[in-house]
Amino acid sequence: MTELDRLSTEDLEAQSATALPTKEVMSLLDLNADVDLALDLAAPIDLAVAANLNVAAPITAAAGANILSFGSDATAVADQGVMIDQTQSGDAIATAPQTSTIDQADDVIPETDTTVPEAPTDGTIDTGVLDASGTLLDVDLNIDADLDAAAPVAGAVAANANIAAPIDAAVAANIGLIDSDATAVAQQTAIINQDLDGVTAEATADQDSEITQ
Amino acid sequence: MSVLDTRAPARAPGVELLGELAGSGYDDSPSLVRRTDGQTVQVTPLLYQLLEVLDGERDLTQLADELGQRCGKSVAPEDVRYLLEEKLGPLGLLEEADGSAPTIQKSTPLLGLRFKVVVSDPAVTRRITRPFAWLFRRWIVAPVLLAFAVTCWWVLWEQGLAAGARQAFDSPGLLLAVFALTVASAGWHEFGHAAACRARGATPGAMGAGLYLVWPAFYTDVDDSYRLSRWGRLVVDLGGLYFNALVAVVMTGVWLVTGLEALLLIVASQLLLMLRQLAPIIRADGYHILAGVPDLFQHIKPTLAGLLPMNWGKPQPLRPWARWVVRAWVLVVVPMLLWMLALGVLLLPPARRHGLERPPAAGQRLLPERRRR
Repeated sequence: MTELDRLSTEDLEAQSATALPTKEVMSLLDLNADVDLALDLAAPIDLAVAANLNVAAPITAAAGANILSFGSDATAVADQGVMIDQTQSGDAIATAPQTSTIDQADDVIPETDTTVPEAPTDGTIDTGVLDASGTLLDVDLNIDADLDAAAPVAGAVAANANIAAPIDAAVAANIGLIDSDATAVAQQTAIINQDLDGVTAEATADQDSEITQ
Repeated sequence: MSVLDTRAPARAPGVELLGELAGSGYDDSPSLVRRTDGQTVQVTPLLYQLLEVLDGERDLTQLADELGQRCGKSVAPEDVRYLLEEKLGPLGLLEEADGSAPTIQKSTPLLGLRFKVVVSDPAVTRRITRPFAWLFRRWIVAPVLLAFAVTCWWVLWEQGLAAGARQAFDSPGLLLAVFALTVASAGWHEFGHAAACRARGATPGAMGAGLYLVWPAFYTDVDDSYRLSRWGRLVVDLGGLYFNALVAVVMTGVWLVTGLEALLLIVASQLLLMLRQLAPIIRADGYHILAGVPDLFQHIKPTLAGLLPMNWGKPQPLRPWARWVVRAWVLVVVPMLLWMLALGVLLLPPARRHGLERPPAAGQRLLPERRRR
């Protein structure tokens, strides 16, 4: 009978038992991240979608403030600035920097804080916490083709976006604020410059809204 | 005195032997066992053979003989004791002295889902997802994927989203509907995973909602899919994305009937959701699709250690192709996670500036003018 090899120390030490992580497949409701995503993606696809964010951000800001501040005082301030420069003469070049700053807290801002800052007129945009960044910019290049055709429409869409935002903010405020005081200030500024074969089309849409409830 | 000196060792009550982990990327395919609390444990082949012969009747000597016959080597009783006490015992796979199962906390994975709320328990999940399992039949999948490809091409390159966006902005109700349907589609995505589980013969677990890092998330427990083949696991991992594709196709169909351009925005939102899900960095679908080797995060440390010159040439448990996939993943993900962490720290000052820089003066009333009077 053949003598079997002895199980070595190395063999024994190589044995392992590992608890596997619970496999939970998820779908993220990445609302804030989606805003970032749209910032990056939307501009190249269709400038109209960039305007989407103008609508979405104030909605989120106001709704969140009202729900969280139930039974207390809440103030939500949402400022957004959009500057879109576009030149089309064989090549399409689009620059759509967009910055959103949402200041939202349960504490009430003192009197001096309720004044709305002036809209930027020199084309500079403040940097805020939702500044778009990251690898998602990679996707932009794939969708540049749509930019040319969609651009002229985008100006109008951007203007529409500004209308929608304060409406939704008001609706949200009514849900949560029972027996409470809430102040929502939403300011939006959209400046759109377009050049088509030497023809300059310029659309500017400004809207300031102040809602007190 | 160890419990092994007083009685024959046995598997803890409720421990299931699930068999080999197929297509795992390991040289020696590990096997799986499941504890009574649902925790799945991956064990090397020798440990699995030992678990198979643990019947509560054989003593250490008899176990050593039986194990030796199975693995083709001479095994001493001390070897069996070592494997039981050092390898299987700490994972809660052995019966206690009083015959009960040990209480071991389930593993909490790095970057795992926290703060979960169960919406449907496993029984409810099985019942409500059963009607959708047929959607994974080949004669359904093929035309759906073809329709999805055509839809994507047409919406992005032919039709565009400008008209849909304009219509949505003209009517805020439509915009909210698009938003609501997008959120609902995230829940529908989970139905896809659970239905795929059923279609491939595994049993889906609880479904619910939770907080992943900082984002709200829907989730489905598909732990049972570990025991499927590599292809079966892949189908489960892709099931959610498949259901997103279904939404895109159906919405395009509804647009054809109703002419509501805003519905095409949902097609775009599905594409964005799918792209996001394919990111392999966090435990999204892309991570699971890539992880033929279960739990890539556990491989970060040994992979980085293996890159050091002193460890070159040492035997590796993974097959060459799996080793390169894991290395590439580690070398991409670790810097990205560090970068994201640094970015988070860098963004904190602006957050403070906007939110906290102007504290109210001492004695100042923090109420609007109307109430202050």
